[in-house]
Amino acid sequence: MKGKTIKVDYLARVEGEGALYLRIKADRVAAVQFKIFEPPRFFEAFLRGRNSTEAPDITARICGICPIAYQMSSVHAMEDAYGIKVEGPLRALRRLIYCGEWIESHVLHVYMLHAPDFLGYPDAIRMAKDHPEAVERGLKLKKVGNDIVTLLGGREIHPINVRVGGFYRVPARRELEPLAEKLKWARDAALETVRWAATLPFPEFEQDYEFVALRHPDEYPFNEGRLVSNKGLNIPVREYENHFVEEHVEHSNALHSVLKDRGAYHTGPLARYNLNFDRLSPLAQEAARAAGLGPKCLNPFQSIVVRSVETLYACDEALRIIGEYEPPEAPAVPFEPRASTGCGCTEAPRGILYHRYRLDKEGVILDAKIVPPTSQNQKCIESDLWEFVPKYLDLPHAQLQHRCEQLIRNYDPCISCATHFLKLKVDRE
Amino acid sequence: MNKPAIEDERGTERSTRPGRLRVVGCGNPYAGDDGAGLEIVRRLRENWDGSCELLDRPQAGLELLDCMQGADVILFVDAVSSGAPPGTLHLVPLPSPDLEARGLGALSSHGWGLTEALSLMSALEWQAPRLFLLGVEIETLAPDKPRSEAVEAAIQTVVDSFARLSALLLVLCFRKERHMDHRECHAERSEASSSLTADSCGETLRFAQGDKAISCASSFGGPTLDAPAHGTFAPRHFPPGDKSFPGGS
Repeated sequence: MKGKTIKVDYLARVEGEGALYLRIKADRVAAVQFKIFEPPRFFEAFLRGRNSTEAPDITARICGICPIAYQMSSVHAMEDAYGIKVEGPLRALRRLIYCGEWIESHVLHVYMLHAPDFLGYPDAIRMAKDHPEAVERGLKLKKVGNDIVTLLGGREIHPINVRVGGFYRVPARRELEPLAEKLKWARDAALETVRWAATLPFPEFEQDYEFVALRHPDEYPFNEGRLVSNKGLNIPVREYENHFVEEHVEHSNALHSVLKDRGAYHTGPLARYNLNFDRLSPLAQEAARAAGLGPKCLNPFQSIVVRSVETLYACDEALRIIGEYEPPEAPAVPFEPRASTGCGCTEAPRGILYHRYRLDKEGVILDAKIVPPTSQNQKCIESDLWEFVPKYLDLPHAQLQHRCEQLIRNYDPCISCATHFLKLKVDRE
Repeated sequence: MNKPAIEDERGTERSTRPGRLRVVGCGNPYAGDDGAGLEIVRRLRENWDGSCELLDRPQAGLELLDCMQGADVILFVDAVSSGAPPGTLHLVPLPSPDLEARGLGALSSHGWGLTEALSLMSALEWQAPRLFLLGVEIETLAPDKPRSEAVEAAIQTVVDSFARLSALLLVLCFRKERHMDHRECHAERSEASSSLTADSCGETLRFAQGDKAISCASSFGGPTLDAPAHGTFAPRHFPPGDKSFPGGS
């Protein structure tokens, strides 16, 4: 293959609008651009002047798939600013609602968006004709995740029950019981999902990533922990901006995030798994091992198996939380607004989601910074393409293009989340 | 997943109990006329007599599959764009060759809408109740713009005529309508001169050039087809101000 261009104007089965441009010159990759052309959304700008208590409901609107992540990062940032800590059953309920989001988001990607790649279908509808059992399992499993979010969040999409300090309303024990019954089925279905995903054919491709994820002393991370990497990063969330910077590149409406002096890094299920395997429940660890995964997994195509393992963990963890649940005395911890800056970072289904807010003494937002996981993974996606394409140059054009698209989908990119405030730079000569 | 248990639920009770109608409002309340379906459901709720079930699905995606069970007739109320004058009402049985996919439908979960949900149900061979679309022809989708006068009037027409509409749909449901099957649907589609684009999420017009290959759903009449079919309910279109809506049975 000599000079060649691979161009995908509309990437399929990703959340939002993106494109891929790849130029190959004399059997070498000459250019790679993962383009995000979805227009900027200006959320950070219109948070200014709004009260800190409005942030969870406003930011939840950034994404219909992972609104809980936005609510969780924003409330933790506000609580950091106000110096309050949400503990006990309220803290557990926050983990529970996050379990719901991981289940619905991961299952959507595993079955509806990613699996068709491995099984050779253009979309889930055509896959469903030949694999109805798998698709039905996926739909039902996803619904259990939605049911958790509905019960704790008030509705399944853009939930409205999360607030700074806790919740507006908390469930009684008996309200959680029907959920536990569904979750027992879901745990088995998730186990079956891990087994099923492990049978898919994976291209050989391993990368020496710098993985970045939260790490907590004794939990698989959702809302708390230090930011760590496999290459020496170990910082509290407050120091995020000393180590990570966002850069504007011309071909993307989403800022590229890099580790200072080091460049691309990888966040998301694969990063969490590699950095926190020992924090998974015994059932999830066992299922991962049975699926042929060790404590380390460096092949991004196997992220579908890792997502399935995390889904299993989320079902298991949700059942544990429900089993131990005693309703709190109050649905929320009180707080007093004060002039301050607060940071929050939580593990969205697609990776770390960082929020920082500067507040005045009334609790009004003076400025906001939001760094979603997909914008952090953009550079990593491009570096995967740089490495992957030379190894598969012999493939026919259509197959190579498909492999490249599949590689992007390994990251479950949520382009709608990633597009945000774009700095305007004008070069004049 | 167990197949939706509509067949069992209907069975012998059918002749003795009233039919169950569910109305599902779709659309984006923040984009001009796109919120028409949601607004109809909201107004119906104000004078609700319990005779039907009212749901709103402002973010209608895969979740639409969850509301397909436990009713005899489901009416989706949504904004549509077909080129007819704004405020035109379209009453269309589903699946319909006239209903286009949203374009990004198969591609992104952000693009999932009614057509995609129906296609997936069909692929899975799920049985469904009788389905209809009540489409309100839109004028504007501009964010923050008030609804256009024509659409406002159409909304009121639907609300005022709802008792007759509801009776019509339930009569049709028990009249053993003939359902179009998958191949017929495709054949008609290729001949269709105009098409509707149902908009379940507020982004329709941007992606009107869609993946036509999946643009039509197929045959799931299932349990409602337990007697010989006689005739097809033809789509009905009511121009703005047409007082005959929804027409007789």
